[in-house]
Formats: sequence, structure tokens, C-alpha cells
Amino acid sequence: MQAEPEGTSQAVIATDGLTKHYGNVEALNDLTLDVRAGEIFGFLGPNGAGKSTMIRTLLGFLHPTRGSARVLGLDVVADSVEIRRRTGYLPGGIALYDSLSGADALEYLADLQDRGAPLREELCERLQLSKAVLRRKVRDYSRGMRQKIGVIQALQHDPELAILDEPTEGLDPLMQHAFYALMDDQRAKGRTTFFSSHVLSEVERICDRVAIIRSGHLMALQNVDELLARRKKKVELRWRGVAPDLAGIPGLADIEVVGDRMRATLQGDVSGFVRAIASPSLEDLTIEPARLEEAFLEYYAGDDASEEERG
Amino acid sequence: MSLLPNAWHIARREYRQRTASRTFVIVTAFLAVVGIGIALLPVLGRLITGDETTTVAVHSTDVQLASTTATTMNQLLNADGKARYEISAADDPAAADADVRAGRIDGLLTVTRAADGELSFEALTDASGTDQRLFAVRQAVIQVNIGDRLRRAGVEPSEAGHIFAETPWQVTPLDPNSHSLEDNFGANYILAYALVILTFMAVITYGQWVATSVAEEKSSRVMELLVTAATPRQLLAGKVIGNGAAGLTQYVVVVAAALVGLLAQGAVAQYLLGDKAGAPLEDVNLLVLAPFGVFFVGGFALYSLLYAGLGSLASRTEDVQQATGPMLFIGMGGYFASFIALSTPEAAWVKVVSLIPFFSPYMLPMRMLISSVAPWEWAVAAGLMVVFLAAALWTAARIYSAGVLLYGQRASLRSVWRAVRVDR
Amino acid sequence: MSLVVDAISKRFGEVVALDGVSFSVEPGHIFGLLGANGAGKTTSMRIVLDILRADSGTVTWQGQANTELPRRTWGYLPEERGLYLRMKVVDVLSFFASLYGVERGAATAELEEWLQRFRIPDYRDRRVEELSKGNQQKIQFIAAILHDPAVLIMDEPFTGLDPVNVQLLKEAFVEMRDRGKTLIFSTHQMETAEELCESIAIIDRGRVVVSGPLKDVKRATGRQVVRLATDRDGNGTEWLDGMDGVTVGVRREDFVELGVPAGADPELILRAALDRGERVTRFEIGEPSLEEIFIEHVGRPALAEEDRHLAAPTREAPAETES
Repeated sequence: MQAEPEGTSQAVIATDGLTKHYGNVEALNDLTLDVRAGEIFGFLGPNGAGKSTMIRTLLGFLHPTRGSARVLGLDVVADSVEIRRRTGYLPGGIALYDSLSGADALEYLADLQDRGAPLREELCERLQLSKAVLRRKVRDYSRGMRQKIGVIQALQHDPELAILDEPTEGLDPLMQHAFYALMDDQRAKGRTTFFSSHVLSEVERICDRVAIIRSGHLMALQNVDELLARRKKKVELRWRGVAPDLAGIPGLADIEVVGDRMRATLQGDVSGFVRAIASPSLEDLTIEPARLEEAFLEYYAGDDASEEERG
Repeated sequence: MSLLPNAWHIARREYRQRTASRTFVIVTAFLAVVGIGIALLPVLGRLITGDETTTVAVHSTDVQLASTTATTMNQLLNADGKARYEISAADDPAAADADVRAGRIDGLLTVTRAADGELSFEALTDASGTDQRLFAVRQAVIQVNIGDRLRRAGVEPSEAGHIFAETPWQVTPLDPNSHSLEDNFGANYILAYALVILTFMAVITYGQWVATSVAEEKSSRVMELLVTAATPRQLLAGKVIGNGAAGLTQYVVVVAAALVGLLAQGAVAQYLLGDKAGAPLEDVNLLVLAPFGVFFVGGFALYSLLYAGLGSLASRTEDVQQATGPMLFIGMGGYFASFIALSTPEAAWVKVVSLIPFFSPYMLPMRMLISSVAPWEWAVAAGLMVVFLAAALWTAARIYSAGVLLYGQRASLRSVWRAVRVDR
Repeated sequence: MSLVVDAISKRFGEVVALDGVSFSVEPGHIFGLLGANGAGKTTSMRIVLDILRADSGTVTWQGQANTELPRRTWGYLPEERGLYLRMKVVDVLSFFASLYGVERGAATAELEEWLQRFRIPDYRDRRVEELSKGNQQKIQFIAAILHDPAVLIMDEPFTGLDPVNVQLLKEAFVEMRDRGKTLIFSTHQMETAEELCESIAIIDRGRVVVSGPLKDVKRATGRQVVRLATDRDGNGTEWLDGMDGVTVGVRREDFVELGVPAGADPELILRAALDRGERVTRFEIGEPSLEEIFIEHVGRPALAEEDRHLAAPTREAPAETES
């Protein structure tokens, strides 16, 4: 657990020993973490690890069995109404009223939030929902369009904190990009995003820190940069004529030579390696970081599938 | 692709799912109990009210008149030998009046002879105008009065007996096969009535099942898998057969329970009340149920097919009612027509309408029971049923194959028309 | 003999969903069907499966028209998942297998093997509704393959799965391919397509904009990509802007992406970096990512997509007929 806890006053979300049991099932177990103002915090875990339970507890829909949590400095049990008013929330697999038009659905949800919708127009434009589309009934929307409405309703009132449960599910690559740009702007504006996803490449791309939970336990809480830096790299090279001398290069392992090709893994600084092999006979060189997925999957790897039934 | 074996696989799954559900078992058991209860209602009713005797006091300022009236009425009212009435002369009108008001006796009959010798009768009672006992008492009073007039006119009591003797009366029906004038007409009438109600309930309830099960598959999106694995006609046939068989199972259990109740009525009455009065089905030939069964199954299939087709236009189970509205409308039409036809079974329009497949399952058995159906009419009705079934299968398969993958649309006449017209 | 989709077109009322879509898939290959929401992927799949009929054009598999082929040729995993929730897993799977003429005994043996592989052997006798979303999706995959179809068509099979299950499903894909099956799937995750597919087609607004073996598609862009990272985390890379023939693409959090014309030597960049004394932490010569290619082909001025949808009279074109 590498997170250096800052003062709780600065934390937008701070949980302390948060525990939630449903009967005998431990959905959350002694979860302590903090989300700092202005960061994009990735919340990861296998299906049924307790992510939804966590989110519902933070919004005060569920009460913790033990432990406590504060969101925007407010207690999740005592001040849940105020928390929900100041937070934007996109539930997983959002359902909308079929008979409303997209515009009416957004207007209705904004009224309930009671904070207006200063960002709606900008968001609609960036996610490419035209006025003509917004006039149509939600019933006629494709999955991607519904998801866009979901994202917009969570952000349209410019909340200090947005809690987004798998926001890119159903969005095509173009819209995924638009969404990532949106997240970057949120960060630039100092807004905080608490974000769950199954797509590790997007977590790698936009999150500052990640927490991984499994079976209700916190498995890891780390800076994404650190996770990235610690990865092993895959190196591959091809040469003409004499093979370069690979002995004694620090960090190089798993060497595999087939003909004029070599594959290996490398940990640490690349520069030393590159200098060591630099020779005119070098034909091709690839140094590629191992996929982040591999780093994540270590934490994910569950012992059994029965854990999936929780949450 | 041939209809079998996939239609069979689908039918079997539908049947098992439907009959294995707890709701099905509970509802069936409940309806069976209700069926037996209704069948035994007359006996139970008598058990609760019991075999009370009706007591009436007769008062007149003429003591002799009071006592002869009481005696005559006793004879008339208890002619069946069951001694259900107890008519006695009362001396004290005020006491008798108080007895009626206190519910100790059922009525007080005051007889007055006017100056011209005519009798007038006045009854004090809390019985309602439709009470059978009041009606019986009035009949007896009329006889007493006529007897009195005859006596005053000088007719001897011995001759008076002849005057009251039964009048010979016989009707020769134009249609020698008609049941309308037979002794068991009453029982047949009740059975016809029951068949109309039961058929209507069956086609509407179980048709709705089929439609709902189609819409459920659409809303749960199982449909996309099904249409890749089986053809629309296989699916349609399987659903109608599976749900139909489940519906019939429930129906047969409930009707069988009611029949057992009816058949046992005599025995139950014997056991509980000591007499065998009212065993209604003893008068009815149950063989008439055979053609009814054939047309019932035909009508059932016809309604279910169309229900399935229309059900496929609903995206969610909540929309099923709306989508299948036209079928309810047609079913209700046949239902009300049957009730009007019960009183005029020989009318020309009844004969025509009863041949139409949507209505023949109700109206033919009804006509058969209370009137008569010619062999050619059976043949025409059966032929029309076959034609309509084929047309319904075609239409429903068309609507279905177009409808199952349309989501988010409201069912409207236009969408039905388009579904039939377009090729996927 | 391959699966050949030849110039299929389909209109829903006024809306043109497919406009002469053609592509072909080699037997025993994994094929990715890519496109934005509403591009026509689901409609194409439904036409191949003969659930929908094209207005024009043909689909053939091993020379035979798809309308003539037995249904058991295909296995289908629809985008919208659906199973009979109240049935036991084993019963649901046997039921679907029976519709394709598979005996219950044979189906049971096969499905148990798959449950084992997906690490859910204990769920055989549980009701479907008791399973998590991810596990239901695995059951649905098994339902699509129990009758041993020659061609597997899957619409967004990875959506909603966690990384562990994504991995299991990817392994299952490869397993099926190794058994000689042909797999076609759609996805919004370009990394996944890149990892699994031998060939792809990108569909945009009812038309195929690019298709073929993934390598050829990449080569056709005529450029190489170098991803460079130094320990300065993407800062201080302005010197790259001055390099001849090098176009600086995305500057990401931890690396910079550079475009190099096909003929040029990308190692010049590495040498230049080392000569400048940079500490290189990542150097990668590659082809443009599928994601870049996708955006290059499908990226469009904002709101263009809606203009197309706008043409759809509400009740004529059900939105769900396309993904």
C-alpha cells in the first residue's frame, strides 16, 4: 500500500475500516483508502468483488456494518442527502425512462439534482449528441447513446465529485476518446473522479491512482506511474552477421535466441542495454513495456470463481 | 425445415417451465378447490340454512275460517310429504304479530271476509318478494280462495277436486332432434351456460399466457438465440402446443374437480342431509362433451396462435395487454353473443354466427345442448376451423418473424400490417 | 473456401443500414468486425445468420448460400445477453443444444468440460439467475458453441467482463480457432482486436472502409510508429519537433508517439536521443495501432453521425438493430 495518506481534510473520499456484510457474506472487508481532490481514481476488481457495494455505501444507499466513510467531508450515514446532491453518479448499466426524450430525461434529472445544468450543452456537443437526437425518445436509442446520456447526467451540473461505474461500456472508440478528453479536463479543473472499469488500457491511460479490490478486500492501492515503471519490458532484436554480446547486461533475463533473433525481458534502465547492443549490424530493435494487464492480473488472480457471486 | 423435432423440444420446455412453477401449482390447486366448492354450493347452502320448517300463523275473526284455511294450506304445501310448512290457526293476532316481529314464526296471514263474501288475505313477513316460500304460500292462498268461491257458488267439494285436476298438454317440436323441450332442458341449459363461460375463460387466459411467454423471451433477449436455432414456425407451434398443453392441464384438473363435485352432489347430500335431492348431472348425457372437446381444442389453437403473433409485437410484458387487445375484443364478442343466443337459439343470426371459427367453440356446443345442430353445420364449422387455423398459422408466423426482433415499438394496427406485409 | 459477404445492402424504411458491404473471412481465422455505434455491425451479423434478409447481395460459406445452409452451421452470441433465468444452467444449455439436434448426453459431457475450463464447474445445477453477469456471459458463450458450429459469430463478446474473464474468453477463442473453427466478432476495444484477429473489417455508416489481414491494413498506412519514453516522463521532448521526416503524434502521460515514413530509419531517433544524453526507458518501433487506424478511417466531424440518425423516422428503424 503505497499511498501516502494526506490530511483527511483534503481527501474527497476517505474510508476507514469500511466493512459491509450481507448476512454471512462479507461484501466489503476493512477497506481503508482515500481519494484526493483533483485526481482520477480508478477502482478495479473482478465482477462481484464488491465495487458496487462500495459505491452504494459511499452514496449512502447502504449503511456500513462497521467502519466509516466521509465523502466531501460529510459522513455517508448522516449526510447522505447532501453528498448525493453534490456528487454526480453514473450507475452501472444505467436504465432510463423509455418514454422520455433524451433532453427531457436530462432536464428531469437536473431538476432532481437542484443545481441546474451549466455543462449540459458543452457535454452534448463533445459527446456528439445533437439536438435532433436529444428530441427523440430514449426507447429508440442505441446502447451507446444511452450511455452518453448517462455520462452527461452525471456531469452536467458540474459536481465536485463524479462517481462513474464503467462509464465507457458501450461507447465506440471515437466516443471513448471524447470521454478520455473529458476526464483530462475534469482533472485540469480540479474536479475529482472516482471511476470503475474493466478495461485496463483505459485505466492506464487516464487514472492517477488505482485501488484493486477482490472479495471485498483491498489488494492494492498504487500510483499508476509506479505500476508502469515497475513493469518488465519485452525486448526483441534482429541483427546481421555477428550476434551482439549479451552477457553481463544488468536486468536482462529470459533470453531466447532463435537464428538471428533474440527475445528477452528487461527490468530497469533501457539506456545501458541500448549502449551495450548498439552495433552497426543491428537490424531491428523493439523495446516494449509488458502490458499493464499483466501487472493488474497478479492482483486479480482469484483462487476460485465462487467469489464472483458477491456484491 | 420440418416442424419437428424442434417444435417438440420447445413445447416440452414451455410445458415443464410452466407446470413446474409454484404459481401454477398453487393456482391450479386453488381453482380446483373453488370448482368443487361451486359444484357443491347447492348442497352446502342447504346444509347451512338447514331443513327449517316454515311456520305461518293464520288469523281470522272467523275462527272456523282460520282453521279450515290452515288445514287446506297444510295439505297443499306439504303435498310432497316433506312437511316443510307448518300452518296453524292463531287466536291472538297481537301475540302472533309479536312472534313474527321477534322472528319466532315466519309469517302471519290475516284472512278477512268482506260483506259480499269475498276473501282477502294479508301477509306480514320479512321474506323478500323473490322468496320461493312466499311464492308457494301465495299459490296455496289462490287455491284456497278459488275453493271458497266454488263452494259459495254451490259446487260440491267432490266436484271441486276434478276442477283442480291437471290439464293434459303436449308440444310437438318442429325439429324432432331439438332438445329444447325435453325434460332435462334445465340441466342442459345450465351446462351450456357453464361451457360458454369456461371456454371464454380458457381462450382468453391461456392465450394471454402464450402472448406473455413470447414477450418475456423478447424482453429477456433470449429471442435472439432462439431465432438462430429454430424457425419462427417451429417456435410458434412449440409455444402454442407447450403453453396450450399446460393450460389444458390446469383446465382439465379444474373441470374434473368440478365434475367430481357435481357427480358427488347426490351422495354428499345423502350423507350430510339424508336425501338425494339435486344431482344435476344425472339427467345429462355426458357424451355431448365429445364434439365440444374437438371444437374447444380448435378454438384454443386459433386464439393462441394469434395471441402469440400479437405478443411478439410487444417489447415488454407490460405491453402485452395492449398488443393483444384485438383478441380480447373478439373473444368478448363471442361471449356476449352466446348469452343473447341462449334465449333465442333458433334465430337465423345465431345459426350463422355459430359456424364462424372464433365463435363456434362456444356457440355450437351451446346450440347442441339447448337446440340442435344439423350434421352439415358441424361439417361446415369444422371445415372453416381448419381453414382459419391454417390462415392463422401463416399470419402469426409472419407477424412473429417480423415482430421478434423489433424492439422499442408500440404495437399498432399499422405495425401489424407492416409486419405481415414485409419480408423480414 | 471462405465465408464471403458480397455487396449486401439493407434498408429499414428510409434508413440505409448497409450499403454494399463486402468482406471475406478465411476458414480457421479470427476476424474482427469493427465500427462505431450504429455503423451496421449487428445488422451485418444478423444477415449472415439469416435472421434478417438483405435487400440485395449474397452471403456464402464454402460456396453455399447462407439461406441454404443448416442452422447448425452457425453459433451466435448476441450483443444483448439473454437466457432463461429460472432454468438450471445444465437445462438451459441442453435445451439450446437440442434445438440443434444434439443429444442430451453428448451435450452434457461437452458442457461440463467447458464449465471446467471457465472455472465454474459447480454452477452446473444452479439456476441461471443466481449467476453473476460475467458468469452468465460465459454460459451464453457455451450455448453458442455446444452444437459444434463451423462459424462462430459474436457481438461484443467482451463487454462487461472483468480482465480475468476476458482472459479466459480469449483463450477459448484461440482454442476454437485451433480446432479449425472460424470466428467473427465485434468489439469496441481495439487492443483486443489487435491481439486476437488475423484480419479485420472496419465498417462506417453501412460501408466497409478498410478490410483485410491486419498486417496488410497496417502496412497500407505507409508509416511506422515509434513510441519513445525517457525518464523525464514526456517532458522536454521539444527537440523531436525539429527532426526531419518525423511527425510528433500524441504526447501521452508517459511517452511520445512519433510517425516515421515507411522508408526512413527509426533508429535515428534512438541514436539522437542517446546522443542528447536522454535516459531512454522505452523505445518501440511498431506499426500504427489499430486504434489510430480506426480513428483515421472513422473519425469524422462532430455531429455527422446524428445527421444520419436524424434521417430515421422514429418508428421505422429500431435503434437496437444496430450496435
